[in-house]
Amino acid sequence: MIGLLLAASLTLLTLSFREGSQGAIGAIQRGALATTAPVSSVVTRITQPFVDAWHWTSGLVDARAENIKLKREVAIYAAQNQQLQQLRYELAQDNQLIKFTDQSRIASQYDYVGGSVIRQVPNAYTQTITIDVGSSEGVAVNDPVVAPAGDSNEFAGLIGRITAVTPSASSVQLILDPDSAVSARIQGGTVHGVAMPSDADPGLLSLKMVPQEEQVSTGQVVVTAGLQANAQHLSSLLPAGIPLGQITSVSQDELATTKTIQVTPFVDFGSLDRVLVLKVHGP
Amino acid sequence: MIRDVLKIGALVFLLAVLQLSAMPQLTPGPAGPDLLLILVVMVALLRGPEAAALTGFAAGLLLDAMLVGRLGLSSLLYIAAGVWVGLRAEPGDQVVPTIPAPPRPSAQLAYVVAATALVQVATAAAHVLLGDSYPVRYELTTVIIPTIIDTTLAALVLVPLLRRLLPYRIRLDGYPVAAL
Repeated sequence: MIGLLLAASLTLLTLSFREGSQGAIGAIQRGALATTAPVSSVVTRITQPFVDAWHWTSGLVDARAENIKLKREVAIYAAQNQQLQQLRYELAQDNQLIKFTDQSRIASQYDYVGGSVIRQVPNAYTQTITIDVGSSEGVAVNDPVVAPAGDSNEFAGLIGRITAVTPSASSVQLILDPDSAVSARIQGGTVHGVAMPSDADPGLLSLKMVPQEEQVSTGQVVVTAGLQANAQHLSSLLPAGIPLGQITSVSQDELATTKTIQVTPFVDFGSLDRVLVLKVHGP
Repeated sequence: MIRDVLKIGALVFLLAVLQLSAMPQLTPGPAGPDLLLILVVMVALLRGPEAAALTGFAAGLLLDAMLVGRLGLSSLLYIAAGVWVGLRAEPGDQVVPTIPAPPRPSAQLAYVVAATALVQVATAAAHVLLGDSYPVRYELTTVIIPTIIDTTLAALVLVPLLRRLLPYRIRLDGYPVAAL
């Protein structure tokens, strides 16, 4: 019987080749199609809800997987964007420092070395930072340190002086430190004073010891005078002409002998990153 | 016997319709399970090679007719698969009246997988001979392997069902009862 069935199959196959969809073979196929089509239609209708449910479920799974994938991509792009923003910020700061070194008369007089802030003490009583350049790069104690001046017309402003040096790092006492005092003058004039942290606002400077008779107005730029001082005595020199800040208020007490002048530093001390050390005292 | 004929005939018709109407939509990918082959293998295991050959012939004929394809090709392959499984699973030299044990479920599943692989490879080979073949890589990745996987998964459900619909019966000589 098996042989007969095999022979019948081979015969059908041969006929199918010869006749194609014509003749008896075509009639058989058309008959089968006509017979099964209604059943197929019913089966399709019955299974359609399951098919739809299957597609819905698989679509949901796909959507969830895609959602997770997209969230992961968004996180990656956000991190990359953050990195890019940081690089842009650092580049802008570097550009400002380059302009300072190109165009500032002070910077052209001394060697300099660029560095990054590696530690900042967020403390009103100890305003110091640590930078990643030290004696190996020629940095010495009392060298002035400048930083990009942000949105002001100046390219860079004084932030402090080196107080301690190791081969690979240095400590900088900021001009906002309570122990800091910098001899200063008003740019384009002869008015001298001492720039010290403001008693009222630790983020500002006060230009002290300016006699009452001197003519001072807001908007004037305060620069280093060339003498650095602390509370006790005059000790060392800073190069003259390094921008410090801009006068934002001037008040006059009739009983006092000196003016009260408030100076807003050019540098944003809250976001110090790139700095330049002028090698004034170095080899 | 007539009940068996009716049952297997209905199963052939139902599974053919399911295989061509519902399964392509329910299974991911271009392939689908070969439900008719599962039936042929189960008939071979539970009713012997001759019954399997007849079932294979009918199933293949219906399938090719519904597909408007090469009439006889599926019949040929299903007959070959059914006879091969039926002969391999025969009890052999049993001492009458020892009653042979029915094939274990895992063995039945293994036969389904083996028969599917053989039929798929033979179908690809037949298409090569008939001049309408696809590249081997395409055949393997989109037809042969997916069909084997789909058929195995479908067999996990269908084999127990068919075992209940077609209970194992034996003759006194130890051979399965012929269905047709």
